[in-house]
Amino acid sequence: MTAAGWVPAGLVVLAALDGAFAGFRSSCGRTGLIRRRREDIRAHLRGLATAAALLGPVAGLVLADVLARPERWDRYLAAGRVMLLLYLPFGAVVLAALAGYAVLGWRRRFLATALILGPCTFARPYVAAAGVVLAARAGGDLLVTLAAAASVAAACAVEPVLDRWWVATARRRPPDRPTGTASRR
Amino acid sequence: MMISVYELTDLLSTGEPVSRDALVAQLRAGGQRRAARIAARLPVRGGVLVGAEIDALLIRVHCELQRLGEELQLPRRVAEWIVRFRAGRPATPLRVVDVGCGLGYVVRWLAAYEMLGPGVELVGVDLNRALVTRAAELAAAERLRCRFIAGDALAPGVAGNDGVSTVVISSGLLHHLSTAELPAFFAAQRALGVAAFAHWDIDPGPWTTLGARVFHRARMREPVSRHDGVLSARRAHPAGVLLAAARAGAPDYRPACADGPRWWPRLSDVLRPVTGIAP
Repeated sequence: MTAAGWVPAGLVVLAALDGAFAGFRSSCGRTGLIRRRREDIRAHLRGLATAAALLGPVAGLVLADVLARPERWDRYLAAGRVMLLLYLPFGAVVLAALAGYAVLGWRRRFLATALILGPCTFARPYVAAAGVVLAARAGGDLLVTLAAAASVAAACAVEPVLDRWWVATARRRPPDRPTGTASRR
Repeated sequence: MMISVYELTDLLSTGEPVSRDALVAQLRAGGQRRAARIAARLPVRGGVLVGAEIDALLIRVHCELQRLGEELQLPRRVAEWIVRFRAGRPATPLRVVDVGCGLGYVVRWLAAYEMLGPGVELVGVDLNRALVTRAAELAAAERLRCRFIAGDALAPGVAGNDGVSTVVISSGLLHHLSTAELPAFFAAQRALGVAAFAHWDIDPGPWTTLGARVFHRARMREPVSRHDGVLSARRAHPAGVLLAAARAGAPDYRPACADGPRWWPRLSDVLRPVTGIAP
């Protein structure tokens, strides 16, 4: 696969994973239930769908711009490449920690959370913002920078949007339902 | 050394009507400006915090707190200790009472995964009726065999002293008690004649406080959760204090508790128990 293929493909895969994990994070600490494997799967899918809904318009605008002015593709590609160079190692570390969480015994699972997953969640918006800065420098174009900023803003908005969905859902449900707790960020 | 600052959940869980202005003034007087700002945004009616809203807030906070227990594998740690304790007396029926159980996460988890084997009765007790009610709802929703009581677990007749061998546990409770209150806490368990106690709380230290800050910022949504979570790590009692209190309150219970080196992070033992076994 050429750079023209793997850069957008890599960014789409990372955005999809990030969206799914954002959906999971937003669902955590909501219901108080013990067994909730099915709810967790639903939460990942909800995050994926929300990421697609928020990032889709940005991707559409980029595509429209490239179709109208094909000479700008290289700028988008350069910006996407540097974003990927930053985000890929970050994503790889997170995935490695998740793999560690899955294979480590229960006594050591917390290490994956304490050393990597927690700090990475904390650092995620800053890493995302750094990607925009790198993309702006590599793209050297206002529209490319705006597209990078919009895509990062959309990815970062997935969790807050879902948090609001949880609040709205909780308000619609009768107050005595055990799944009726939610909070605003 | 105990820090004389307040967690918001302590001040909100008194069971009495709370004046928001008085609460904010109390926090400001103690230099807790951030807590005062959070308190100033709590809903009021006629100057008094709205009880139903506060109950809902406390349930949300405890739901978030459950996530911390999940990540720390707290119920497994509790189960491991109880199984080890019970190994010497497998045929004896046992009651496990979780003091200050909140939403009863540990009790419900133990019931869900049945790791303690047959003949174990699981009881969660908390002073806050809203939390206990929700705990019971959650247990019913998952058809779990455990029960919850609103009241003082260490008062005679509430959850123990009826002849059944009882182990009293708690998680994240001890730092809510002052150093002066701790001996009476252990003495009350001795007076009930419990077979053993095991209370998990934070191993204090700079790494724990830093971890609490990062974790609560990254994971928690409620400002109250974020505030209290970090403060919990700062308020936690060192092992020496807990041991001295356990020896003073229950001198014949063979207490045990160990902290790691202060400057060396013990990530696998962020929570550690103070335990005591009846003679």
